[in-house]
Amino acid sequence: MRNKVELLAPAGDLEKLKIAIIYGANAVYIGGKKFSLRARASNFTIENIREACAFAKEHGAKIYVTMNIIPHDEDLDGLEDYLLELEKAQVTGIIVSSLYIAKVAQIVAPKLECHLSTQASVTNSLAIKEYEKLGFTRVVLARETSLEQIKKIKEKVNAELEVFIHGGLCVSYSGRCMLSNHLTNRDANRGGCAHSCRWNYDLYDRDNKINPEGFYFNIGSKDLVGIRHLFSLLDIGVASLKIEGRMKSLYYIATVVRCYKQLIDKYYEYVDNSVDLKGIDLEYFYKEIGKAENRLMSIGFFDGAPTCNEQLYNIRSETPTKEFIGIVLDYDEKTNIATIEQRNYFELNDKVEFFGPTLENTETTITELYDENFTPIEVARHPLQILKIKVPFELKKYDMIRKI
Amino acid sequence: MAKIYVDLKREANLSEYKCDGFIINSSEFSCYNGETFSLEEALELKELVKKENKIVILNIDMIISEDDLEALLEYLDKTYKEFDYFIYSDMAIRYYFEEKNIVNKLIYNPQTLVASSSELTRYYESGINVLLANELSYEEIEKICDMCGSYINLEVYGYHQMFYSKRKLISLYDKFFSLNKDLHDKELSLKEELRNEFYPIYESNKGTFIYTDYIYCLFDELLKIVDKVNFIKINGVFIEENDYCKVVSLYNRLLNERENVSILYEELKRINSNLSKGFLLNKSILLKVNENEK
Repeated sequence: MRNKVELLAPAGDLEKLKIAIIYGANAVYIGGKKFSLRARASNFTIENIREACAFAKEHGAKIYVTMNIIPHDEDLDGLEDYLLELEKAQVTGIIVSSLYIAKVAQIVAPKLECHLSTQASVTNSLAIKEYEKLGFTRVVLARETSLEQIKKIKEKVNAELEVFIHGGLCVSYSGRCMLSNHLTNRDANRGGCAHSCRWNYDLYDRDNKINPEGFYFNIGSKDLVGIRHLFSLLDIGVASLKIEGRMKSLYYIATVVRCYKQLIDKYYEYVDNSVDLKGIDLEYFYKEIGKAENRLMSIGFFDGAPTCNEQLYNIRSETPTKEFIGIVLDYDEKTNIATIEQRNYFELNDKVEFFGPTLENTETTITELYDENFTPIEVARHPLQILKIKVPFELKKYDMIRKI
Repeated sequence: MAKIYVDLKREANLSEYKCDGFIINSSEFSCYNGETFSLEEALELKELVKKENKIVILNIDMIISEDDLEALLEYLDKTYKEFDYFIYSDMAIRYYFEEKNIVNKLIYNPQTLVASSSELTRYYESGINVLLANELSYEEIEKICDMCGSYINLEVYGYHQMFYSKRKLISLYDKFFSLNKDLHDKELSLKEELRNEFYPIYESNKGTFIYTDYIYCLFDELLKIVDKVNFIKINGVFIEENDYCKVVSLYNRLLNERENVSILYEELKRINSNLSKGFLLNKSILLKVNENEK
């Protein structure tokens, strides 16, 4: 029996973690309150991590905890206790870039798998063999690795390969960028990245400004979308496909995870039945992602050296094409009434689209809208308000609603 | 006494340099953006350095892609016996040297990744020398000296690399806006819209590199820890050969004539006044998580 790929999603809090798993992630990576790089993500306490692991176990999923900070001495207080707690919580593995943290983990919490973070910028098979010797069982490849190179690497190494399939891209080699630190005193390698690569710059040759009048010299990268390259990665046999974005919203996670999960399922279905994968309509998936994605997308290094198409040049697009308006809490089949939690403003008679882990996109119009006490209302304007709406098809808890 | 290692410049008169060793920056496998040397040149220069009875170090610190591996191995086969030390940042090189059982020839310089005594010790246990991260405060450096119980190695002078991208960011921009300027392999500068500093930026065939707008200078503080320092590196990138040679002499005098620190520092400033202590007195921030943050 073939090993199926792991779809690995990010989560900034417990709610997002649950959504990621329910929408199809086989594993979720989270940051703890210490040793993690996303200082502004709502990181998990040990209690949260325990709950996350219990939930994941119940759903056959795994939890990895990021500990990929480049530590200074003062950052290492409490390391052993923390690792022990993670092991006790039944975390599957930790994602690290520090050889010291990895070594301590191997000694005090040997049940934790050690995954090498992309912060280490690994782009070749010999480096992976070295990390294998150092006890790493999985390597998160640098985002500078092309598909062709990933294929060659896979043929030569034993360690599992994890590849970023979607999300934000550092324009520098990860771990090798000190722009934020030098420009703002916020150390990207300790969780403080100010995204200085996305700022506006002028480029000079001595005293002569090179960038044309009215345009800045931008160095930032568009985000990564791996829809077109997903099947090749599955053919290669990478162990895990990673979605970036522990700071992203619940809706984004649900949409992106669901999209890749559906694509992965289609791949196995088609391959198992010897059906040509060309029959899969990739455009549909691009459109789906576009409903939650608010940044311009590119293919990163998948096809080799990036072109102008992968760079951000004075173009910013921050508005998603569809708006997330609520999440289903319950559905009464007898009355066709759904109980939902409001997430964005909407009105009676708005056209909406429901979707869920098992629910295909289904459009309808809101014809009946009530508050929690079944008082008819015309507008849903209060965030997190509990509402009732009539929906003529079956819904499940955690299905979502977006305006169209 | 701490040794002084310097970048070898093409016009350098080796005997004039008051240093203990020369770093030959490989054209093929270093991401140094000053004078670099082909394999043939490096092997010839090595002989010249040896004649001066100095240590000879080959810098091959680029991040290696899978496509570069074959050429790298061929290169290492031709060089591993020839040089005293090798500066590297990619673990493929460590793998190679471990196979040859000569890791003591290695100096790990990942620029950013070794920032604690614990991390440093992890490399020392394997017999590998390390250059500490450049963004450490003096307090941290001092603490590392105390805690690791061994010698440390520091880059003490020069423009610090603060960004290393595999992307050819300048050529791509040039192409996108059809500027048709020849900006590859050229020292340019970058200015952020709200700031006044000009950061050197350089695109080579290894990618795009951005440097500090100042010359980092660890000078008087060096004397307080010098007994715990194995070697110092004086970075020659973007510094004229003549000035560079003078800077090296001043560091040599600092280590030998300790009483004249302030005079020496004034001389150093006269060569180039754009000196800064970088993070030495200005610790970078680890953004602790606010418990109430959503």
